[in-house]
Amino acid sequence: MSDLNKIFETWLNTAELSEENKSLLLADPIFRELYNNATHWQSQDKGYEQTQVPQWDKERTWFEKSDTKSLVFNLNWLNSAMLAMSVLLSTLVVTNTQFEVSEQGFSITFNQISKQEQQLDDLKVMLSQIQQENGLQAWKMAQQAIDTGRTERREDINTLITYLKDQRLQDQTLIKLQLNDLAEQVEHQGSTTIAQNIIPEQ
Amino acid sequence: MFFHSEKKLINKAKQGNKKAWLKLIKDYEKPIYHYCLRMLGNPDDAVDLLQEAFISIYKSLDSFRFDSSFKTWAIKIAHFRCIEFYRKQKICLQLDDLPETMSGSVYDCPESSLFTQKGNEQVIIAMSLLPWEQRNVVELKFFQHYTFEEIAKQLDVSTNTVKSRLYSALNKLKIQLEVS
Repeated sequence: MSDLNKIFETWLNTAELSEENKSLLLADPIFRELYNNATHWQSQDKGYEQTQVPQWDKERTWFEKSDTKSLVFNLNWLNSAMLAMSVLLSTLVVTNTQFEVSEQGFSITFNQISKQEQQLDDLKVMLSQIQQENGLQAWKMAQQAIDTGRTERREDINTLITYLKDQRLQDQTLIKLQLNDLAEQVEHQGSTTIAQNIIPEQ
Repeated sequence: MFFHSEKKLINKAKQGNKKAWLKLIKDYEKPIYHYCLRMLGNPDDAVDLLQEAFISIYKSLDSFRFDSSFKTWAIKIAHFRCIEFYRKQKICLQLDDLPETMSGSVYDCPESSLFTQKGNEQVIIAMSLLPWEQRNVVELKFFQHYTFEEIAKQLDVSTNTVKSRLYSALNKLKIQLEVS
């Protein structure tokens, strides 16, 4: 049945059907009916006549669209202006531009390149110092962690040893008490047990 | 105005050219109208839906990227409008307590007279006798020639569901082929 299903589905999807597969479909009563009905629908599609559409108001579907060209132009202009401003600001920051307003007027000065280089070197030195300090601190912290770990382990082992010793002591005490009990029992039983074991003469 | 190709026509319509748009409607109103007619079974409803579909198509025209044929894309939009239309109708019918299959159809006639109708009428009657989900699948399979996978994607269901609906539709009308 699943083979017939596959054949039928493939035919519906691709319109490919060999004579052999067709006779298989037609041999099965369920698939014969499905095949015949599907064929009928396919012929309905081929025979369907695209008759004239009744009168309707086509003009109502159209409306004025907004002037997209000018909108696009405006957006482009805005984008270009924003880009230009970003470039200008970046340049001002990079060149360390300074604006001064005084009684004499308004002045713009740019830092010389050598000054900037000096500042850069100072920054580099500061950065390396900070890195060294960080490294040292990290090493110290690691050492501390190792030492703390060692101490803790030592303490744990000592605790364990103490515990074991205590247990051993307790066990020994218990054994001694048990032995004493046994000894007392043996003392009491002594002669009577021997008398019970004598075999009478015949 | 003379438009050399469909692509030019569509681009002009996108820019808001009225003549181009009306030409486009003239080229595609038939397949879309007949799609609506098969789905709704009623010429008046089909014309209403046709108008709604073209309004939606015009609004969505900018999103058409020529990655499928214009007809396929337009039918898809008509399909969504059709579902909305059907849902509105269904609510109204439920309020009026009427059965689900379209009532008041010009082709309203009992199943037994199906075979006396010809051509288009036979199709429309046959389709109107199917439940909505099966009608959808029959339309997309036999009249729009989609594969099962494409139908599943369009209807947002599994391919098994599509197949099951189609088989039910095929079984529903045990059409006895007329001897011609």
